[in-house]
Amino acid sequence: MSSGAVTEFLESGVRFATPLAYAALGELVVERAGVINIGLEGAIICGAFGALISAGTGSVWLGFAGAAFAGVLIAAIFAFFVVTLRTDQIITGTAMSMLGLGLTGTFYRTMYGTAGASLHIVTIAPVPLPGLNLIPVVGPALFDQPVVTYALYAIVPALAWWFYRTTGGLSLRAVGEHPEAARAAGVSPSRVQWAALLFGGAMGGLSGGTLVLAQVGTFAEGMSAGRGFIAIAIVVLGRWTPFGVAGAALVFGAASALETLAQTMGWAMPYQLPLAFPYVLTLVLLASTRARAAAPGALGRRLA
Amino acid sequence: MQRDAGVPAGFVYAIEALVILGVLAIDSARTYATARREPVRRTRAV
Repeated sequence: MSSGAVTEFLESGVRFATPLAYAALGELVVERAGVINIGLEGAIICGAFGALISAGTGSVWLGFAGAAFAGVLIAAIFAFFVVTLRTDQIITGTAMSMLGLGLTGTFYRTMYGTAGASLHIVTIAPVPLPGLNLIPVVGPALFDQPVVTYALYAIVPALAWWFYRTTGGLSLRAVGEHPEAARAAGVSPSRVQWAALLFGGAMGGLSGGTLVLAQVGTFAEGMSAGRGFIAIAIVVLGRWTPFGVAGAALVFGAASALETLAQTMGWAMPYQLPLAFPYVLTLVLLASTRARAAAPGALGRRLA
Repeated sequence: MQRDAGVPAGFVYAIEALVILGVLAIDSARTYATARREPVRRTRAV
């Protein structure tokens, strides 16, 4: 395999990993607060649709803001049901995924009709970092990407610092491990879970926004394509730590980039095979991992 | 049948999701009401 093909593979891997990392880091915060947001898929697709609508103004940054807002909106509905009404997290999350996919599909058809597929919007271009992008093999992969990817280089360590070095991070982890103990210490579990879910929604929305504004340049019904569920698997594989999640997202990004590699190398195989690889990898890794031991103690439990 | 009726599949998903959320909300309200109706158990101080 030539170094050019390896570079291209790595570049695609990082590109595919970016939306996954946004969604997974948001889900990480949510799960650390003791909530499983199965509805992340809904936040991603709503974020993608929000990006489409807001980017119609011609500003890519308004597009990202719209994506985050749409994600927050659907996360607020989920938080109201799960935290305020104390409904079952899995059933509510499933309903939110369906709601997100359904509403965006319906609005898209209503607003853009059947010609919507050819719609193109402003996108964010890659910004090569001078000097760093010239590093052989990994340089273009890591340092010739859009700004949204570079933002992750700051978000991951910032999140790790916040988790383990601040009172807010401690409160979040306490609520996820033992909400009653956290309440006894003066922390409101409901408030912490609401905040975590809104943050997770914003990150899920940004994930969808990245898909539209940094990768595809358009919107398609169901374009989230199971990324929300893969992001949940990434959190498990990353053992509920920011750096672990970032690493796991890269592994899944590389798995998604196999299709590009297969085309570059001219491998004779049905095109569906590399497309299915990330989902197969999810099943295999989840079956083999012992990460469950690192899960927050009160994960998925309703507040008393 | 959905195509014949001119209803997009997404719309059906959204309605199904709303029905699920409605049922969950009703169940939550019922649980809350039941909890409020239950007599408060008082323990005698010793």
